[in-house]
Amino acid sequence: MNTNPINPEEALDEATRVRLSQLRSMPIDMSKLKDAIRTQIPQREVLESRRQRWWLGPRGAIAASIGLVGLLIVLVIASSAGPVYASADQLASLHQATVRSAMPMGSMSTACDWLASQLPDTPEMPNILLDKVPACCVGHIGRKPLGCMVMDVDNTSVTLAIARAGEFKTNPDGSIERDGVHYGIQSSGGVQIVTFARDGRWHALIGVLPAERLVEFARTLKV
Amino acid sequence: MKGRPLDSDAATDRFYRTIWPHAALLLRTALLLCHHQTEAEDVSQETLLKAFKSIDQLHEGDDARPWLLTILRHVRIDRIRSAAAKHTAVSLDGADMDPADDESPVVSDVEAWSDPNAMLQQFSNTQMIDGLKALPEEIRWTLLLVDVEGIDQQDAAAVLGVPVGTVKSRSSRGRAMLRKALLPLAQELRMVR
Repeated sequence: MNTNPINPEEALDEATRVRLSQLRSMPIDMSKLKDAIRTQIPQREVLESRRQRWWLGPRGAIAASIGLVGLLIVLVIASSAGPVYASADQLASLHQATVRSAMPMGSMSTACDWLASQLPDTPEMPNILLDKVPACCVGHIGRKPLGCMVMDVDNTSVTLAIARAGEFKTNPDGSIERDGVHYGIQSSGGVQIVTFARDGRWHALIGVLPAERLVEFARTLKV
Repeated sequence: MKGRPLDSDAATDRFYRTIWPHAALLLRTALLLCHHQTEAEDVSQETLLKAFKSIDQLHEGDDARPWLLTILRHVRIDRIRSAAAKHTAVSLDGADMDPADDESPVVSDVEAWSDPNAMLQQFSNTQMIDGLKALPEEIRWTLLLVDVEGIDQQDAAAVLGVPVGTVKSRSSRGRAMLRKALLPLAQELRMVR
């Protein structure tokens, strides 16, 4: 795709296209549609419970062993596909877009449910104790989606973006090590970015706060 | 290649694996086409149920999005026609088919938008959606597919049942029409000259 329009008409067209593409991460309430479909189409959980009964037999144990080997192969292949590079500018833009368009949620559990419905392959948000309700949206870097949550830290909006460990890579300017976890530090236009991998997740904490404060906040995030 | 119809468990499993992940796309598209949340939810629900019933027509490995959007488009058109026949209250605003391919030249608005990226970012999502909803249905469909959802122009042409060239011209014309719809607000906010 041409990202460098060559004349003002094309630049205007491209700016309009880009702004429209941002509507893709607009939060929407899926709850009624989800309920209606789950009522009319037998739920996946029902099928899974039937399968779980089958797993209890000896044939299930053999199939599980084969499945485990298959899963390991898939994981090796998936990891070799390579992570997406997320630059400091992209993460700062993600923060600005998230703060602008995230939808307020009634509680942390509502926020987690909503993100799980939007991004079933993305890990759950860590457990966070917040004084104020969070807001959520689905962000993108390249074509890869991330679960994004805006929260209030020291009266400042901070974005927490989540993906599976290994899905994104960054090029930090420095790092801080705490409790055996390495926190990558970088910034863009006054926005500080702290990235780290823990508990099978890739995290980015982004906001206009000192990097050390973001690291301290990162340490409070529980599985 | 249609293959044998799937049994119920296999169809359900496949539905939740290949179709359900696109439910948000369908609801978002329906919300941007319809004028009421309930109507959009009904259209999305009908689309998903139809997709479930004919899931064996979707080839394994194919991108499900154009297939689902084609079903959604047929559901929407059927509802518009049905409502027109019954004179019910389903919204028909902008459903006219089709001033979209009006060949009158688009007046350049480059001068009004001195810094288009920054200026367009100042509009909220709600304002952008209101602008979209002011456009004729076929133009809106084109922008929703190509710009909002990033569907390939070839696939968008298949969904809309028009040549690729028509998709290209409607995209360009639609963006200009959207900016024109946003212009009064931009002037009110003193963003444009």
